[in-house]
Amino acid sequence: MNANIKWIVICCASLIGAFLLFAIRNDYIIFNFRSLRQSDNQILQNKKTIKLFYWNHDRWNKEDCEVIWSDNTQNDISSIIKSWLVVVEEEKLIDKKINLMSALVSANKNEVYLSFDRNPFDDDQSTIKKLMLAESLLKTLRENNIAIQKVRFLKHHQTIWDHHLDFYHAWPIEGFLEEQ
Amino acid sequence: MQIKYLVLLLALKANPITIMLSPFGDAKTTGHIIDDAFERSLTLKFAEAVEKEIEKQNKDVQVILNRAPGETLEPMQNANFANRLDIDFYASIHFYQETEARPKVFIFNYVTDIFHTPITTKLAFVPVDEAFRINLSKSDQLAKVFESSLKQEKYKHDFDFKGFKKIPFRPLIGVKAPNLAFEASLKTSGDWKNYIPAFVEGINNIIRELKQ
Repeated sequence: MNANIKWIVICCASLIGAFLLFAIRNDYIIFNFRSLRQSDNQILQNKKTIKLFYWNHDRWNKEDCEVIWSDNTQNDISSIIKSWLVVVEEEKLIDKKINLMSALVSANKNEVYLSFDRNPFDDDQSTIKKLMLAESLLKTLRENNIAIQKVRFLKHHQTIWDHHLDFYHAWPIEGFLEEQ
Repeated sequence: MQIKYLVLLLALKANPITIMLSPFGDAKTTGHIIDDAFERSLTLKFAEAVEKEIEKQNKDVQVILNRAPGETLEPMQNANFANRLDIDFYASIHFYQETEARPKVFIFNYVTDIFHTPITTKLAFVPVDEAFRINLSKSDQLAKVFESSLKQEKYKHDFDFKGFKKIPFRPLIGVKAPNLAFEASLKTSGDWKNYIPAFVEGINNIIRELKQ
């Protein structure tokens, strides 16, 4: 009799344990430890409003956008460029969807390598349009106080080849046009 | 090809000033589509018309076009050709389709800010794509002369001159002689004729400057 009770208790305990494990694995029961909870204030402090610039209708245009700011230059540059690409696509300054594959800062922290999945500089466009697109990107990085000196434009990690603009060398963050 | 160079060299010896015009495009590169034509054919027609006009107005000037119809150009061929002939001035010609109300003109020169190879002695090894640095100040000076021609009131009816910009402009890579690029927009494929007077006047002013 005692042996039977012992087996019944063991079976019931195993069954309850299995149910609990199943419930935890499938999120029917969730443990909300106070130490793991990130406060709302902390999330708000990591958000930053950035300025996105683009050249359209013969003048500079600006849009503000909120991004998560990490104080890691690479991540911040990535966030800025991705937001900038969305804006220039909305403004129809580029005619196809372009994604930033990677943004890598050089070891000396002076140069950033931006690799896109497509060439953002369409050969059908005039030199000035392509130039102003590049200048818009440089101005956006500059005005958001990104601490780099030069930018390299790449497509699939290879130097972009264009009939009119030379991307073989890195472009300075100040651009080539006098401040308009 | 060797005979062509020999004939040109002999011609150059006879004529003190040589201008090379480089119409954009070749057999493989059509350039922009403008109306019903390709940029390569329009720049060539423009260059041929300008060549005739300049040689008519200046008997002691030789104008050379860097390509013929149907010819395929290799990378840096324009620059090598210009450097080998030791020309006095090089102009690259480009057109694009105008989608707005007024046609526009830009002139470009290559910028130096991105090159850091020091040139401290008379004999220095410099990469070929920095060849433009040899005559940089002369290029600037002649570009400003050309700019002043385009800015004149009499041409404002035909086009808006949008300025002289120093940018990393690929077609000018490797050219030793003073150089500039002329880019203009066309609303229709026949509009290239509107730019001939202004361009020819600009080149004439450059010729006058070169003779001094």
